[in-house]
This record gives sequence, C-alpha cells and structure tokens, in this order.
Amino acid sequence: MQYSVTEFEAIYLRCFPPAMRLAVSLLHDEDDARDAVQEIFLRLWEADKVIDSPQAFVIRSVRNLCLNRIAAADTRERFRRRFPLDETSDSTDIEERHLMVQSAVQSLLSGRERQVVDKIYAEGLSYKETAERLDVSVSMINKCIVSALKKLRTHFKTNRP
Amino acid sequence: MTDENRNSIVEKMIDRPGELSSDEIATIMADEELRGLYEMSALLQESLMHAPDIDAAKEWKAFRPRLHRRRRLLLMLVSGVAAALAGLLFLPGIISTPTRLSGEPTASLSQVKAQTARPVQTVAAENASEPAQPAEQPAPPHRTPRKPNVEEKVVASVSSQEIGIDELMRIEQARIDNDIAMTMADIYEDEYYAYIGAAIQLAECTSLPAETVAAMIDNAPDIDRIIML
Repeated sequence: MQYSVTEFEAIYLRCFPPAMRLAVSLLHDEDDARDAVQEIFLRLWEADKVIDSPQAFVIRSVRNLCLNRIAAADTRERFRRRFPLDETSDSTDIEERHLMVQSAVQSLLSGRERQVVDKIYAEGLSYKETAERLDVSVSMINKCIVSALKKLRTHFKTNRP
Repeated sequence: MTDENRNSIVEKMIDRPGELSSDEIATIMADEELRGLYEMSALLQESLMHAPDIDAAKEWKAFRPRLHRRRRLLLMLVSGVAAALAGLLFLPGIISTPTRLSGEPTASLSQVKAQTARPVQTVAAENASEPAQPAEQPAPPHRTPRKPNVEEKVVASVSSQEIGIDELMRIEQARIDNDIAMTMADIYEDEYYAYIGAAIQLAECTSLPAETVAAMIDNAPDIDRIIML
C-alpha cells in the first residue's frame, strides 16, 4: 500500500464519479457498476508499486473489468442486459463513441423518434409506459423504435462509431 | 418468417429481452438485420443511459471500511495458507512415525482384518479339525506356530487400529480447533468494526485530525490477535 488513507480518500473522491459513470454506461446496472469500480479501487489500494496517474489507472481498469464481465456473459445474459453481442472494438474511445451516437440521435431522428428513444433508453421506461406517457399505441412505439434503429444503423455502417 | 412474427421478436428484443425464448434468440443471431438492430439498440443503451446521481463523499464513507477489512482478510488468508502448509508438512510425519517405530511396514486395514478374523474363528476349532488333515498336506501358514502367531496378529491389529483412531482423533481435534479459531476471528472482527466505528464517532465529535483517526484505526488492538489466529 503506497497511499495513506487521506491521500487515498482524495483520489477516491476525484476518480469515483467518472469511473462510476463509465461502469454504468457499460454494465447498465448501478449495483454492478459500483461493485466493479470498488474492485478497482481495492486493487489500487493494494498496489505495491507507484502508479503515476491513479485516475488514468482507475478509468482504464474499470473499462477493462467491465468489458471482461460483458465478455464473460452468455448470449441470453447479453440479451437480458442489452449488452452488445459482438466484442466492443478498442479502436474508439468509449466516451467519443457515446458522443457520436448522441449526435446522430439528434441529427438523424424525427422529433417523435427522439422522444421515444429517449424514454426507452435514457429513462429506462417500457413500451407500455412510454406509450402511456406519449399517449400513443404500443405498436406505434415499436414502429418508431425500429425506424430509429434502422436510420442509425445505416448511418453507422458508413461512419462506424 | 412473417412480418408479424418479426415485429413480435423485435418488440420483445427491445422491450422485454428477458422473455426471449431460445428459438427467438437463435433467430436473431442468424438474421443479419435483426442482429444489426439489436446491436444498435445495445449501443443506444450504452450511450444514452442516464448516469446516476453520484455523491462521492457518501460513496467513500460506505467504501472506506472495506480497505481495512480487505487487509485483514488478506492477513488471515496468508496465515491460513501458512497453517495449511505446515499441516501438510507435518501430517506425513505423524502418519509415518508409528511405522518407523515398529520397524516394518504397517499392514493395510483390509489385510489386518483378514489376518485377525481367521485365527479368531479357527482357534476354537483348530484342534478338532487338525487330525482330519492328511499328514503330508502342508499346513496353512497361519497355523504354525499357532498361539504365538495369533497373539502377534492380534497385537498388530490392535496397534494398526489405534493408529487409525489416533489419526481420526487428530483430524477431529484439528477440525474443532479450526471452528474455534473461526469463531474467535468473527468475534475479533466484530470488535474491530466496533473500534473503527467508535474512532470515527470520536473523530466526528472532537474534530480530531484525519491522520490521528487513521492511526487509531491502523493500531486497532485485535489486528495482532487475528494475525495470530
């Protein structure tokens, strides 16, 4: 252990929020994300060599740990948790990829599609809840989502995120 | 696949993925378009999911006890491994000691049983049955000389059984000792947490410097006892 508790607290307070945001975005679950982030902080605490940039270490390690956990999930689990089926490419920075997707959502989708996508993916509502909020039918929600996904997919086939 | 089926699968894939059947999953995996839609859906989930409100100070407060707990667990693990290694080193010595003392290999339990069972059954009947045997026929090895042989075998069987019971006793004793040690470790762990809680409360009441509180926690009295366990 190379840090005093006080030093470690400062690192924790500084690095926890971005690490947690990254883990939540990858694992889609707050408890799993917290578990992964805490695991990395314990590794940092027990590290027996000096780590130049603890923040970079934490972010990189959290990312790798989350990707390993996703890779370890079987197909059914991946569907259940909306994990990607293909291995995530290392070529693009995750935050950069998120910005590209957010930008495409804003620029390519119609107002209604954006609303539906936001309710489902950002707020985590079900089709039924979204339909009630927007006062439309469930089949309309499905139609909007499929249309939005097709537009985005066509876009990202040529502009890989 | 009809459009209706396809829409149904897409709806389930996005809205209720946990309800997908194995056949439906196989269909999605095999259908390029469905798979592409799913991948896009997963990417949207990753990119758009709202980050939770994070209170780093609260998270730190909840996380901090794990630092000390982890260190203690590591210490206990190391001491446990050391004890196991010591046990492995000493166990063969314990087992082989009676063998070396007797100067000859100890018979296996089945051999001992076989050897001791026959004389016990035949000792009473042997005098009666012996004259019936032809003179030229070689006597079975266990009958000559009869009495001393039986005694030796009984002694041998008793000592072998004692070794077995001894071993069992040792193992049982080790198990009991281990249970006691684990219980004591739990008690010391609870004491330790109580100590940490008291130190933190004291710090909050008296606004002691963080270094002082950290030193108090690091010097918690039961650490040595846990290491000893």
